[in-house]
Amino acid sequence: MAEKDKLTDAPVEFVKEGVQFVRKCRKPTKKEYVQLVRAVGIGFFMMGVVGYLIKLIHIPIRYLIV
Amino acid sequence: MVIPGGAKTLAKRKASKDNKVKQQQQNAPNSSRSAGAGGSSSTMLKIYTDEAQGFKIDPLVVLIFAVAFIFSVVILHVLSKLSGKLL
Amino acid sequence: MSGIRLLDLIKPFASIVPEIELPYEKSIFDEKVVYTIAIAVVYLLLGLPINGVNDEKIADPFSWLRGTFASQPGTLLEFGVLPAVLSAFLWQILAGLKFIRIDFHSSNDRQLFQTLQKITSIVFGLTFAALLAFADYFEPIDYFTRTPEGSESLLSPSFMSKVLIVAELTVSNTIVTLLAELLDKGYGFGPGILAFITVSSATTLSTSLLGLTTVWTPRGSESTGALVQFIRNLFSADSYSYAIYEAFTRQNLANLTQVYVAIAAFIVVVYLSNCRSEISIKSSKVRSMVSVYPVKLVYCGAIPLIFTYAVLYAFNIVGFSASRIFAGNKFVELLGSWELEPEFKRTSNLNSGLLFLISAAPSSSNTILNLIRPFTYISFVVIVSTLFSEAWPGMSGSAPKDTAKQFKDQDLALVGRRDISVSKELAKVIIPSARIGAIITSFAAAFCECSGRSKGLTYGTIAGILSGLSILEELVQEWQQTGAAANSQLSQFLPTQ
Repeated sequence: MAEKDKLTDAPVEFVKEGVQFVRKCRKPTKKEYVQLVRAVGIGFFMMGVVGYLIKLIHIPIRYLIV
Repeated sequence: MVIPGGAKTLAKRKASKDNKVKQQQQNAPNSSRSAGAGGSSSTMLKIYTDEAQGFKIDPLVVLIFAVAFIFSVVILHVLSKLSGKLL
Repeated sequence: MSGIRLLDLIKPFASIVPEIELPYEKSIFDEKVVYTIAIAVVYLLLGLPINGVNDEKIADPFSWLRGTFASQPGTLLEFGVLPAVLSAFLWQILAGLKFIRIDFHSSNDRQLFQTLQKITSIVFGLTFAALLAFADYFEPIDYFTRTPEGSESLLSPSFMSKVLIVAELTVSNTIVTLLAELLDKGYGFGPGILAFITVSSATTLSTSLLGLTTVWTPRGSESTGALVQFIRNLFSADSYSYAIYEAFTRQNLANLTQVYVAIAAFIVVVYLSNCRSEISIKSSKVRSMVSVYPVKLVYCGAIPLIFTYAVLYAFNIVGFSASRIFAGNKFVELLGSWELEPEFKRTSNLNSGLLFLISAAPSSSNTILNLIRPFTYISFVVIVSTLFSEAWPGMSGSAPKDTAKQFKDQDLALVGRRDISVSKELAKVIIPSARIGAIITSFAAAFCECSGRSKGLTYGTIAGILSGLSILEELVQEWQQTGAAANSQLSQFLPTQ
């Protein structure tokens, strides 16, 4: 019985600890967060668009070689 | 010969010496960052931070080499297209 | 010293391995921007088809793994950054666990260790290329599907063309390694591996949403971008309901479901990466200077996710090659078996075996396997990532012990704690945050991957955004610390804070 308790205890303890830890964390405020998502999102997206434009160079090359 | 403090002292000395060695081994850094030399950190996977011996090249040469390689592959493609078969 | 050390074995090779010079002085910010862009452009340009391979006729068995390693099937980027990532993990883990003895205090040892990683990366590239080439991976799909009657006799690809393919891939992998080295050594931003993953995952996400280029499929021409295809469908399809349904579910290219799941994951991950627990610290020299030392919740960033997929990718390459080379062997079939996706013939998917259970490939014909797969896959990803994230701080010199040492060097102390217990106090925060951060991110990634059928898009996006954020953090720090703002041309365009 004791062993069984131990087995179930470990994950429960684990989850408890995790939830407590996350609760203690400082989370971004809503305003900060919206700003951040917007900034990072635009940056990521722009990077992607530039990457896509660079990849467009492949089209004439492929035309040449295939 | 008489050892002051008896044979035990010797054993103790040895044990403490062993411990020291062990501790040193444990405390030895196990990555280049913990030795204070840059390298991977918690969120980074870095490999190349020292200048090792080897065949030294300039950064620009790498870029030029890479572009030259791309060109040579394109030329290979064109050649194999012209010769009408894939090698 | 017992026996010969591993490092001594590579000494003879050390002098012939190309090694980029360290910058003479710290590069200026603008120069770094230019270098980073140039390197990213060269990396993306490497996505050319290999000579002797038609990359549009390859049945790609690894499509769900590619997003995380910036790789593209049939091109010079066949493996992306995988060899570099694998060799870095392999040796840094072995050194971290003290399986190999390396004295990191000695600069000679560090250099040899670095050369060892570079050589291993090149050898991995060579091995994988050879495995795939001799598993007939690079043969066009007609080679397998064409019926013997009615078509000209199949030309078995010559040995020479395989050797050429292997050579090309090896050179391109060496170039990728060198490009990563350029970024690592401070000519550009961030560790090269993470930068490539970020750029490539950003490109994949944008292309999946807005790609204007069209590809020819058995159903006619289709746009690569899911949104573009959706709009096109609205104009061309007979019924709107079909147009909408099709845009959300098409299987050959990115569909809207996948893109939305990826964007949702993006938003969640940005939130998580900004959760931190703060430790009050004070300077032991200057009084009444209290500030906070932030410990991020996602302490290891994208590294656990990348590690898990690197392991899976390596298994899959080996498994796939084995299943082709030793076709019919019982043990190999137990490991995994692949079959060609019948409709579009663009991918060949895992459909059974051990590797299927830990994959996010499209579903198999076997219902039981399909039912248990989500559980096995998610638990595999979460467990591996978590175990790794617990060990990684110790292997990368960011464990509590190291941070405590850093504090000591900078004359910092925790508020209300004695010097001796600093390491213990830090451990109370760092270890759980590393663990929980990895659990949450890996679970989110694996869950989205499983439920959204996103074929690697979500996982790649999460890995990309996390690596991007850690590079950004370093960049911002540099921008503030070095006063780069003052002497950079870019400061005109950026808001100064």
